[in-house]
Amino acid sequence: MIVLELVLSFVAGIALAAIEHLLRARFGFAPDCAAVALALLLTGAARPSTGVYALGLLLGFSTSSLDPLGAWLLGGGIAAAVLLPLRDLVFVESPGTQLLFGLLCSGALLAARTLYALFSGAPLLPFPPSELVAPLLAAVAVPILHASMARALREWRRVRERWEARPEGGEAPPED
Amino acid sequence: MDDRDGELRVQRWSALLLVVGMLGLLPYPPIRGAFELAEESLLTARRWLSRGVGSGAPLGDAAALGRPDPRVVELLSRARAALLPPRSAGWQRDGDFGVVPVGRERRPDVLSLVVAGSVPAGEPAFAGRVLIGTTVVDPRTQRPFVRPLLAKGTRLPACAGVPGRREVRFIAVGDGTETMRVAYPDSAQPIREGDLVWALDGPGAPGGALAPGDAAGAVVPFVGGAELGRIARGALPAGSLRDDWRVRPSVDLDELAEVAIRFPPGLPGPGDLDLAPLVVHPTGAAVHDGRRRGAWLGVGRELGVVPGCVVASGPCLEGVVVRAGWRGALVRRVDDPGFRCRALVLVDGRCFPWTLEVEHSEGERLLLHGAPALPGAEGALVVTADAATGSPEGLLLGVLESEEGRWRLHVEPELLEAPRADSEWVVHRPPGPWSDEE
Repeated sequence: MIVLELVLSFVAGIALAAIEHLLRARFGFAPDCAAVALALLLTGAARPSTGVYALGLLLGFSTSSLDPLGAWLLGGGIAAAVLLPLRDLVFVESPGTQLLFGLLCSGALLAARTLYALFSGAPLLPFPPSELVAPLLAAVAVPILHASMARALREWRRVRERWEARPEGGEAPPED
Repeated sequence: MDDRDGELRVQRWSALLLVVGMLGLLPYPPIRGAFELAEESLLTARRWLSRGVGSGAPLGDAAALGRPDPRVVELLSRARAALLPPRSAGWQRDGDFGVVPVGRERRPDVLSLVVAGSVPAGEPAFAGRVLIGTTVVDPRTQRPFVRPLLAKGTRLPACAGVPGRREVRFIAVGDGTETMRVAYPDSAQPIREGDLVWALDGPGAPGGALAPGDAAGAVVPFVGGAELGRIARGALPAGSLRDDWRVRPSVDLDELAEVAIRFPPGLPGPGDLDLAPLVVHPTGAAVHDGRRRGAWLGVGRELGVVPGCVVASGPCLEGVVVRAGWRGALVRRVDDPGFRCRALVLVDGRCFPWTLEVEHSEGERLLLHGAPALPGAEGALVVTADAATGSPEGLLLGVLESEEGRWRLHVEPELLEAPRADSEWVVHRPPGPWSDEE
């Protein structure tokens, strides 16, 4: 089961990186999708498989990047180490908290890349003001996606309940 | 209890990621190797999952594409012509002289070499007619370097004066200073300041590294006749009754860009690498983070493409392969921040080795980290240096420009454009079983 979850999240990481690239090529800017995915995991329900999903996503993203694999893992580790204990102190269902988690995840990934650049003696990546767009978009995307997913889940449950409550042998009740 | 276990497991993965991520910062080769293996396996997995992207099949004839510009080749060969010792001197014996760039370490006891392959030990190193020292291979690191004649303990039979008219034989002794000591001079003739000094072949080669002549007993000059320098007066205390003669080398180690070393038959010289070019279409520029500049290739280790292989577009360098998996490779392009490669700077008919490092791109100009340590580099042409990992010599990088103390590389604008589906790039692969496939 763990292997399946890892493979699925790895593929999701590759797909999200491709979507980010397409958005950037189309509009000139895009949210930091890795940070969005990580923040969604960290603000969602705490499950034992969260770590496997996070690992798979980071591995998937690393294949689309020139940054070393270690920088991705370290970024994910920093984000999780800071934000998981924070869950006990804040209300993660709040849009403000989710926004903050998105921003911090993006910052953690950036910090890890910077650390790797410093250790390898490479020059630091330039960070012009336009580069703030990606973390800000990531921060905004997290509460929006949470709200959308919660609503989709609610709708799905409602449809399922209505389906299960349909008369025996009869057709499904029409949806209103 | 189960809830608590689950909670602990949730918290534990963050620590695991942190530890693994921090391990990647350690400079130990086994750890670096493990990370590289993981990265390349992931690249292969990615390629396997997206098999439809790019055929990866090699295209057409590679001979016409990706070759250095003939004008650059001409410039390089002209720069080397002055450096290679004359064939008539007989120092060539068997084998061939190869030109090897000199590294940063330039002390009287060590002259480092920037060479990826192996260099024979005990061979004399020349700069034209001037003898610099002998090659040595560090027994611990296996890195070759030149031990200059100035190194402490070096002894070499030499002669000063005017060849054929006034010759004073002596032993030139290196004592670790900027000049060599004149020991045991033949007192039949006087030594004069400014006299030319040349080497003689003695019973042992310079430094005792190699016996002169070959094993078959053929009499060939080893270093005999090579120029060493000029006689200079040493600094003796005032009132001294005798002269202290020294030999000042003809070539200053700090000004030396390259040296010529004899490579025996069977050992390829730095310029003799027979790289295997492969023409491919880049399969896209999909790299996460908009500030990075990279590209994908649909070929990988199955065709001999390995990290370090240089990718060219026409006579210009496009980038270097940084990761290679099965049927997929990731290329770091020239304008990617932090791009680094060994280069040659062509100034006034000489070529100087330099490790070029890009900070970031400013349109057609790439802001460089550091500065070339040579005078008059403004407007100099920068080309690639050869490497056994798959880099031919002479691919164009750009022209150096200096502004407000910062150095920039002016590159061809087409070089910085995103790769198109019909772009034809050439990957230069190190020699291997795949060399004859095309």
